[in-house]
Amino acid sequence: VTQPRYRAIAALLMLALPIAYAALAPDRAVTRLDTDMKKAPFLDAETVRQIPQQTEVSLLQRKGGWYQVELADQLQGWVRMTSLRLQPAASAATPADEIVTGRAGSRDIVASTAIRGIDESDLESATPDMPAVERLNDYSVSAADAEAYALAIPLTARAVAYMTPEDAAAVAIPAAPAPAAADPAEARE
Amino acid sequence: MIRRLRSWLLLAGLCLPSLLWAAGFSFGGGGFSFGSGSAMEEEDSSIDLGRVLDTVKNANQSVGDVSQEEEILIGKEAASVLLGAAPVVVDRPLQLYVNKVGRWLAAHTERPGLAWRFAVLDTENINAFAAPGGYIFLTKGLLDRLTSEAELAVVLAHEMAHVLKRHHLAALQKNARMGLVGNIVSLTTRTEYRQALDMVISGTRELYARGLDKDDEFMADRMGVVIATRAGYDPYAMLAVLQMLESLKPEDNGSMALWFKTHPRAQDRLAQLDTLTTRHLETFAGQSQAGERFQQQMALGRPFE
Repeated sequence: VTQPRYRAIAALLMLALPIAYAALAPDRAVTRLDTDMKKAPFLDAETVRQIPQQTEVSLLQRKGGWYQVELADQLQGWVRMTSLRLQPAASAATPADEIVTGRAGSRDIVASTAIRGIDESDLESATPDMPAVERLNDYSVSAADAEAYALAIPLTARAVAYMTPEDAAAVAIPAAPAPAAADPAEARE
Repeated sequence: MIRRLRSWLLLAGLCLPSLLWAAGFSFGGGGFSFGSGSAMEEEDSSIDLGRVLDTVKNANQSVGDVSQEEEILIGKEAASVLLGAAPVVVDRPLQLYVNKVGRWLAAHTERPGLAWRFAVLDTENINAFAAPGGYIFLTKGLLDRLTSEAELAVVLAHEMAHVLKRHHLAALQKNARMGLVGNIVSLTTRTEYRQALDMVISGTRELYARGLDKDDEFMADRMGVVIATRAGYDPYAMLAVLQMLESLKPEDNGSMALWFKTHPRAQDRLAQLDTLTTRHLETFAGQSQAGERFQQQMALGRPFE
């Protein structure tokens, strides 16, 4: 239930502002192997250039198992995604632990400005927050709303089998056990 | 004392359901509940007699004696630990968006009626988590590195597979201290009930820090990509996410320490999926990435960031 006005303002801002949200996604890669660069994202498409391993490329878009890339001389083409090793975006590396966890040096010293995070020690020390679990219900959506949202793309449902028998094996889930006898002391004997 | 209680309860748990079933009782309604009963309302409560009997036969199999109601109770405790470590991002449109995508995925699983809950956690750590009963979390740090709804879908679907296969329950039960897991609902006194849930909480802290078995992770990759493909998304989004994760190095990125510790190497996960995706899912390679909608949604909730 978003306010239409808020959406409209956000849409306008998107037109005006550089797209900041994607800054952390990789946009460069290096070839792992000698690779054929194709004119189109198909194995039998024309090869526009054979590029050696360790060639740096810019990522333009992905289609299925292929990335469209651009070479340093601006030649564009398609390479199989698995022939690439992606490079982290320049801004993706967080400089150091203390920025993330609010800790400096020893893990025992916790700065007063600590940002909460989920690392091993955070899990050890976390105070369980059951009200926050209950509040998740505020964000739940109905199956019907989810379907309508999917059909807007449109996403088309397909019948696809799991890829191994182990994955496909059913998990038995029994009915809830009956409540114990009214008097637990009796139960213990 | 609790151990003795458990053996009695196990016996009661095995005998009573089938007897009461024969007498026409229904268990699915969740009439006896210590926690909130709302989650149960969404589940199809029909009970299959054959399934109950199978459970009796396989009484010694670990996960088999945890009912769905108990699974949800356990999951709530586990989720409360995660939410105690990192709060959810205060961004209603974003959280609704993730729930819409997640709910659509759920419709293509074996447990569509489970009360699935999805949330983005407000931390720069890069990770995703599942808790029993249908609680699925990914961190803002991970979300910020995704580029399309299909990538979001495969991350959620991977975590959902852990719930479908009850991987966390099995891991909790392996721990000796968790002997009571299967009988929480049967505990009649507040003290015993709370003791059992406290054991769940300590087991959970340890489990999230240690991680699941590697085989569970590989399985969740295989199942997750299939679930996302069923929902109409591009299966190669899973490889794209793993390639992105592979590009991140622990020495550059302190926010990934737990992820590195608790998951198989991304390159090993890629090696498995590359072959399987090409062999089984190539015909779906042209399916939607829903990249534009994803990017609009990411910009929507936090334009001033």
